[in-house]
Amino acid sequence: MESRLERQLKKGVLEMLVLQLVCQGPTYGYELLTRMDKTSHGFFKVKEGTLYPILYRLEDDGLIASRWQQAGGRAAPKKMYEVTDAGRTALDGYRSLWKEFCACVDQFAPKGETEQ
Amino acid sequence: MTEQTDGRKVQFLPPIKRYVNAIEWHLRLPLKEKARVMSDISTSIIARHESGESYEAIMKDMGTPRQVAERFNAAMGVSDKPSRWRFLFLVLLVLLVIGVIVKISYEQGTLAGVSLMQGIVPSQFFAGSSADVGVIGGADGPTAIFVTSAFPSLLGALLYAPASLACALIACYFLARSPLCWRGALRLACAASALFFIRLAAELVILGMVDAALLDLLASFGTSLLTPAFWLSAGSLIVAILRKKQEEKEL
Repeated sequence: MESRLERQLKKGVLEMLVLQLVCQGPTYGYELLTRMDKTSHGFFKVKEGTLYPILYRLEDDGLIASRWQQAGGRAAPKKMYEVTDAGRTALDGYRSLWKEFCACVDQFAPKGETEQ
Repeated sequence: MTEQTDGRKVQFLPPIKRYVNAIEWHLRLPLKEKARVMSDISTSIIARHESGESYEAIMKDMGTPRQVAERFNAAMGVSDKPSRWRFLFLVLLVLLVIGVIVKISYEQGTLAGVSLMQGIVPSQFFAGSSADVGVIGGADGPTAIFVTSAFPSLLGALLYAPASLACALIACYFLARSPLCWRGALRLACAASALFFIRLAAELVILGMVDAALLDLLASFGTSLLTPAFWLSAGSLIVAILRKKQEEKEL
């Protein structure tokens, strides 16, 4: 069972992580879920109800764009997500903010703990 | 999909289709957003199935339809609490039923029907009905005197009062039970007051144009006081005041 702090922290960074994954190349919902799970070794095991609203927000903000792609054979069409130029700029901003955030939080840690 | 049962063909949906329909049922989103979510959920299920997962495993992993929908509702800023306005429809339904009953009785020319109508619409809208006119003398001769009786107005008010009070009590009961904040109750009070004053103004304008008799004005104002809009505004105002005091106490 996740603690409240863990839930809040995950919630705070999910948007950045999703944008980061979409930045790596065109992808679709289910692939994002599996990549998120594998890359984080199960730490970010998100459900559809969490991922898709993030994708909607990113899309509505113009940071990513979606298009339907017809798959080959009998496979069903997939909604592919791609990052936009605004998305790349936003991700740079998120990354800088995250670094600043981590550095600031680390300053509160007892001396010597951050170097370990 | 069909199945043969006791010689009859029974149509039923596959479990995965029923599962998706149930998710849609629990989503509390605008239609456009709902369509967007349902399209993505369907493609996600298909993608998972194509990658080798069984539908049973997919449904088990995703959770119950309610859980899936609640995640979407919460993430998209929709409260899972029932709407604060849901009981308004109940009150409107009660009013509609009363209106229909009154309309039917009015059309049948009963005194009660006409009297009740006076409480709902301005009297000029139904003037000329056989039941709201007192007749003195010969009804068919040129000397017949028609007197608009004050009795139906009074009786109308008396008959309409319980109905109005019943509506008001139902509305106030649900208002008191609802999680409406004081601002919400105040907004409801303003809306109900606006409805009440529009109705009053309409009656005054019509009466003013057609018949400026002070007695009629006062009588119509009297019946107006008994409209549900009046009581609803009064009730919601009381709820608003009580909630405000309660919120101030909690602070």
